[in-house]
Amino acid sequence: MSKSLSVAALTVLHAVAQGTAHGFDIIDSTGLPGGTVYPALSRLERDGFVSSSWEDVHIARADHRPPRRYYRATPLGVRTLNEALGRLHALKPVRAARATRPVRDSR
Amino acid sequence: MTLNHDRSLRLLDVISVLVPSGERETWRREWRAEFAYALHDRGHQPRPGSAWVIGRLGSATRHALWLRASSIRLDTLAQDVKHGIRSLRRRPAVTLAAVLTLALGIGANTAIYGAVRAVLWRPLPYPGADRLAIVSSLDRTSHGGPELNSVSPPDFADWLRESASFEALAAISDGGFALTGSGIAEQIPAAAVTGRFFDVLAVQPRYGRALTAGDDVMGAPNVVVLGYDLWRRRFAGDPNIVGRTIVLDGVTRAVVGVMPREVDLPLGTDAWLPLRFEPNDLVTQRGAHYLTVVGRLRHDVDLMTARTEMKALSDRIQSRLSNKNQGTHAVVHPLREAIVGDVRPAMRVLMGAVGLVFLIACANVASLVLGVALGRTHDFAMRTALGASRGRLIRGVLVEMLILASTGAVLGVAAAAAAMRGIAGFQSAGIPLLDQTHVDMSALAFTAAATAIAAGLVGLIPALHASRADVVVPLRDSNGRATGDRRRARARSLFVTAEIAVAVTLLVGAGLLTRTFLGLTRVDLGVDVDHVQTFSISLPDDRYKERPRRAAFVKELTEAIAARPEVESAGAAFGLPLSDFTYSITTFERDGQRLSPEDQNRSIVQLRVVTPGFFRAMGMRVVRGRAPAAADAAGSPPVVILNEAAGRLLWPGQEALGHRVTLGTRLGGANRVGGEVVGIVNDVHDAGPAAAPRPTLFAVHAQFPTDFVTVAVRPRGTPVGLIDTLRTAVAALDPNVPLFDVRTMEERAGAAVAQPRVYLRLLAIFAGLAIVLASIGVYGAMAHTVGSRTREIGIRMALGATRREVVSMVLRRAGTLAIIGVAIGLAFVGLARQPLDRILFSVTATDAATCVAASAAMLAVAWLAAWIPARRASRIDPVRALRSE
Repeated sequence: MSKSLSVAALTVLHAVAQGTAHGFDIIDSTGLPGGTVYPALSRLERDGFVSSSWEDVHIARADHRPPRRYYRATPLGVRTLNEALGRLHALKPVRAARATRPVRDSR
Repeated sequence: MTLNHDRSLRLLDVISVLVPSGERETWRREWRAEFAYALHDRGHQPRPGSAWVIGRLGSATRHALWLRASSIRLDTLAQDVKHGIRSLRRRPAVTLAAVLTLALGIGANTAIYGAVRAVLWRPLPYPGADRLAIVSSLDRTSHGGPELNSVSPPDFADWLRESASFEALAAISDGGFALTGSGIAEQIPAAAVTGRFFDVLAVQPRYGRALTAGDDVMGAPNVVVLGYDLWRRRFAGDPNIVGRTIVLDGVTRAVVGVMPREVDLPLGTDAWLPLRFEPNDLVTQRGAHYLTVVGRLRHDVDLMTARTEMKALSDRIQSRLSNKNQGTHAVVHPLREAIVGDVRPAMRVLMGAVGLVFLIACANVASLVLGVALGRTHDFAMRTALGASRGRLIRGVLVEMLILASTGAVLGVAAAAAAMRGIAGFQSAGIPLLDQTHVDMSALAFTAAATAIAAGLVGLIPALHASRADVVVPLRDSNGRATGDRRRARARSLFVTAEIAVAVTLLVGAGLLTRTFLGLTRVDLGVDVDHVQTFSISLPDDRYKERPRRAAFVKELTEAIAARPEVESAGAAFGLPLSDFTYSITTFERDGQRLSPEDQNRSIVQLRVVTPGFFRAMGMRVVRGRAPAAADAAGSPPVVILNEAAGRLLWPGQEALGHRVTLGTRLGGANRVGGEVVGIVNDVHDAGPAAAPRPTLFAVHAQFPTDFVTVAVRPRGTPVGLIDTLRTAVAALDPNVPLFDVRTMEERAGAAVAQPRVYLRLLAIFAGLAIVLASIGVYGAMAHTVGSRTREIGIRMALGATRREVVSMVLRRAGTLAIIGVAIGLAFVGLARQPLDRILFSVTATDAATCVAASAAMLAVAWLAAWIPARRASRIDPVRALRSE
């Protein structure tokens, strides 16, 4: 993998790969702030992990609104996502380490 | 306001400006569609509220900024920088001139910004300093309009009890105290303050404790809090000073605390001690205005509310008192305003002046780099042909200018740091807080902004030029200079006109201040200050409580000094001419008649107490009657001397001699100050040459002895070691009485004109800079014009034009530009008239002579700068000129 993705970018890519196609829906489904989601989308698209196109104009017109942009994960994106998830999965949970020093009473 | 659909879309359009143009349309479509979808009435879902919309608009902004930031590729920026540096280094002379000019412009502005910030803007070093206020008495009936007055103890006590606007109020009575005991006796500036003074300032001591409410009670222990400077200087910064004792004016006081360095109120105070009032004073001393009152406004009270409340409160007090306090109102001013006083217009003028220097510097540099940019038409065309975008070319030019300006800024800040040290040293100028001038983060931020503006201004025309780079014409026709030249000439003319306009403005300003300064120094102050030496003494209470002892000390001292062979005359006074010592008192009786309260307040005079030799030592003339004599002693009938203004005030249209007057004060003695008027002396401009003389009554020290006097000594010739002689004379009478405020009268008189002198000096520097820069600009522009017209001039001469005609042709052009510039400059002066008039004296901003002189000077300089290239043009050999292409 050429570029390592941030957790936020992975979350966004994951949402897109699962079929959440529109910006605002991704914000709602991931719970990430919009100021994080959109730059992540732009970067994922620039790096070829997602591609975008415009909603069918007839659907939009029937709804009396402009067509929305929708995102889809590219095969490269899906592969990268799965690799990253696999690596994450390989990590095992850790129990909280015990304090090596006794914590002094701080009043 | 609710953010509906349409408004959101409009805001999105605004935000879309941030997005790089290549991606803007896609961005706009996507965001509009998402908003439309979300705000679309889908029947089953509630539409989101304003908070949601604002949040999403924020997201859109962040997205736009991200796209913009990621579009600036660092590698191309580095390329631009490298390219810029290379292109600047190719023309070292132009670059050096431009950098130095910008350094001057930016440096001068940073320095003045620092000074103005120190005086007007930097918060005072107290927590919540914007809520600190000074409460004064406004004296409505005093001559010459309402005058701010100090506060009397009963007024203060009433305010303290009844006002609701302040968290805390404190009264200050500042003065000097003799510090004796450890080391040499020394007079230190100290302030007696009431208990909550340090609560008002909300400051904590560095060591020990501050004064508290218990300290100002009568009979509480004698304590003192030291200021940082005194503690460092006199006690070597000893951290164990708390608990030790010092002797002030003969009273032993325990040091209970040391304040940190920034605590300095009133300015220059070295120590604070409790101010205590005799219960009786709080009732009877309603006319004794000597307190400064400082308060901290409550959180929920603003200045206007406090003003209203205090005005109502003083009306209430007045009605209770029927007559005694008529005409005074409590007024509230922010602390800074009270400290800084009326230097605001002067600061505004200085800022304007230095801003103009900045514009001239930018115009000069713009004119310099313009030629270079036009010379690079080929370069731009070539790069456009090779695929560089216009944006890229513009950015290249701006980056180059930014490098230029930043280099100038670095030099400028270094120069500004030095200049600020110089400005902070103008301490004697009487401009408060000016000594706090230094480079700080805010000054650096200001420099950065000035640098960016300079780069923008300087790069504007070259950048526009780059953006209009035509691919075909310059590449095809290497001779296509005509259009470029015309454009260049037009831009140059603009710069020259602007520079001349700005320089004329500054010249007129400097001229007006010169005349102000001369006018001030020419005013006859009413005293003869040459060689007169003065010093003050304050007799400590413990040994000089009895008034005859004070009188005897001062009498013996002045007589002993006057008897010295090197002394022509000597005298002492409570309140020296030309000092800011104002002790104004209402007149109580005139010729035995009690004055009505209105009349009392209408006839307020300044009280001074003098010894027989004083008028002679001070060079004041007895106009009629006589000066005080040795016979006017404690037991003999009291006499007073009036100045002419007081004579006119008290007995308008009559001879005051022989009348009797009594003032509303006893000066701590048994009888009211007053007596028969036995002499009239000339008026003295006490508050400086610009202010009218104050009506003054002089009592005789032997009859009304004070513990504080200033001794004035007029020597014969210029004796060496006079001050040592005077010290010896004082020490011979009492070694524990220190001399302080040892200054010549010339210094005191100089202080009165010190402030205009500082402004004059700064404005003269700016005007000088402006005229030098402008003449360089005119010269450069004319030299270029002549150079580019070599061929034309050659043709004209070949066709029979004489040298004279050529010279006058060039001069005519320069003259036209100069005259237009001068006219615009004079219009600028008209715009700055109001702040200017407030710092001028004996001349107005529209003074014809000054305007004419400045215009003539500027025209002469412009013509001279044009004459050199004109002469060169007239020497052109027609044959060579025609061949040169």
